[in-house]
Amino acid sequence: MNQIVRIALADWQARTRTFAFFILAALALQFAYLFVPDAHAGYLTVSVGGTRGIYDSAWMGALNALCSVLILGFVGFYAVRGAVLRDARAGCAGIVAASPVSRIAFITGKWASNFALLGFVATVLLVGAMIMQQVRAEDRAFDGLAYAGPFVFVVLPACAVIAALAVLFDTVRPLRGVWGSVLWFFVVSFAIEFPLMAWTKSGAASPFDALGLTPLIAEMGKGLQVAFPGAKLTGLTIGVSNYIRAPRTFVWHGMTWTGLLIAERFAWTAVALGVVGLASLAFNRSADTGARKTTDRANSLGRFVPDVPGLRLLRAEASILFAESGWWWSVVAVAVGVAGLFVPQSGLLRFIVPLALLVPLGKYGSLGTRDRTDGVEELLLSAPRAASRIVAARIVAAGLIGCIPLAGAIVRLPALAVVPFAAAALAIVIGRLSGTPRAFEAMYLVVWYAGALNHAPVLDLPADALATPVMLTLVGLSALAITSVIARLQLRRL
Amino acid sequence: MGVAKRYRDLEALHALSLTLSPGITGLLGPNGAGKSTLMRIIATVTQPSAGSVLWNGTDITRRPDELRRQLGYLPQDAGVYPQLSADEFLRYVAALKGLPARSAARQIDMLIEQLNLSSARTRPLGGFSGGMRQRVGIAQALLGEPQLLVVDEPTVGLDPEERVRFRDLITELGRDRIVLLSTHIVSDVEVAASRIIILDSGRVCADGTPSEVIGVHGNLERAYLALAGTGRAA
Repeated sequence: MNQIVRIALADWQARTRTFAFFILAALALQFAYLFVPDAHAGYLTVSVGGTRGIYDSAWMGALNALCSVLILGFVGFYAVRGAVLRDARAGCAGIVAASPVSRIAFITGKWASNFALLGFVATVLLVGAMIMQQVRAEDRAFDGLAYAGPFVFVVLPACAVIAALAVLFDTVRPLRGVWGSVLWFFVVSFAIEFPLMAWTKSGAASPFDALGLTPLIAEMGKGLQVAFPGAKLTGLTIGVSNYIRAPRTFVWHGMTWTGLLIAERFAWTAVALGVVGLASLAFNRSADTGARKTTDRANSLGRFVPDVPGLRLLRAEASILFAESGWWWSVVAVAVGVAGLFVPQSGLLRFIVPLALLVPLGKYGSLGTRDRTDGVEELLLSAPRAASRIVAARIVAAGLIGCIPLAGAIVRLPALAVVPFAAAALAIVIGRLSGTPRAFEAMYLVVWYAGALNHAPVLDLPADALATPVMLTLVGLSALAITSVIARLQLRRL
Repeated sequence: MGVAKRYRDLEALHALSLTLSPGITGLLGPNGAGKSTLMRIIATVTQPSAGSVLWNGTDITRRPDELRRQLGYLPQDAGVYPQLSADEFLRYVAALKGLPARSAARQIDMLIEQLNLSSARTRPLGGFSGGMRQRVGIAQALLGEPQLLVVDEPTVGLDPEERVRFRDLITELGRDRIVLLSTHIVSDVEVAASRIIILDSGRVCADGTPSEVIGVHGNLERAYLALAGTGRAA
């Protein structure tokens, strides 16, 4: 046990002494504020049947738990990923491999560190909710147990599950990279949607609810029925829902935590520990100890950039980007690009464009972190006008590569061409700020899911391109210019 | 049958047989000779393609933990967590090695003193010079008072004074344990090692005491230059 604690402690120390940790803590505080909009804000974060509870301790405890689980699932996972890979990146993998530490102790230590970090974020959100109850002042009476129940029985078991899956995604090799990030997005979406659908059908909490949303929602629904007898649960929203007329409010008396409910929640903690066991079986301690795997596929499509003065840096950047994945990536990208020429316009926007925007995600993620990861930062910056030339070449190379799967769509909707360049510029800035590709990947996936896939207003860039192509182009070019300048400043500061 | 290692179409080690006993064994060889591969196999970090490695009669390719409890390993290009201090990093490695907290604290104090890191022990490793980081790497290898010490290029980045200090330390350690020391710096091995092995192209070119290896060549550097090519010819 002592060994696990010390492994977790070292990992915790290494994570919390980074700039990215302060960004995470600041984001948590910001979310805690946004979760509790005032009566005239025009949006709700949790609404049941178009109503909400008044901001007393019971409602705030439940609201905080629901929103926290959502944030921890969609953002927290990406923030804690990489605990196992950190040793490889730091060059300590050989030391770990040659030590007598058992796989289960090592992986449990990494899980504990993940859990501690998620727990820290959850605690910031919890304290924020307590403060916001006093700030909104709809009912200032403080009931600690009303906060503690949802936190202990919903949020902490959810943290345990997310922390365990983050370790599993680190140890199972095919899940380590960007496609693991994409897969997680669908896994967590399913983990939220499936029990909610079950609850909508039956009105009862689902036992297959790893994140523990439905027990709270079921009780909130009952509270609504008591407050407004005969009211129909016409909709449930967790996340942002806008309104024009201020919603009705009711007093919700909070959760009744039965023994069965508590047992169910802790059963998920046991499941999390089972996942940790699986992850330890999948953990190959020697996998990251050797020389970095190189690829001889650097030739690929990078060769098609002319080898002429002025374009050589672009050619080199393109070659590196192609070399990061195998020939299959080029085949898929070209196939999607060609398909975009032939499918009907409705299918183009529903299927091809979302897919085309997802295919280059792995290329964008590493743009801002590659130099540091590969240890070539100083080498690159010793070249003349390195910062501006490299950033420009990198944005253009990644943007052009991002245009390959979009090629067919771009022929029909030229304004879409702006998206890959803006994404590349933003990826460099976010990568440099956070030091990890995961931050950009998480943000990109959220925008992609809400916009390209579910057509949320503003974020649906393909729809924006159809409606206001000139505006989107201008917005994209502005973003490109601004992020290029920021990226240059970032590189120069090194 | 000796230990062999093959990476796709590259034969990194050719059926190599060695028996190591207490004392310092210096491993010399040009780049790509197979030194690091051999070290990694002995350190249980990688598996041989053929053959076995015995530690006190136990095949460590099957039961690596038998050796890991008594192993100190400094990989080539070893890294550290830049956010941790030397003290915290060594505590982390002590935890990996399963050292009891009190014993770990005592050893860390001693090693920090021996490796001249006392004034910087609480500073983040990210601000350390290359030589200081290397000393932290050496310290982590020595944690747990290992019976087998495998150190790959340990003096890279050290200034002459630190190299001498390290050589003295390793000579002291080599009195009652096995030290396998790989380096390109011939003088380090010449002074400290009781046995020298020269590898080239995955084969042993020379194996003996320093005087046996030097033979008629006058000094180890000349002997190395004369012998290192013979593996390629074999």
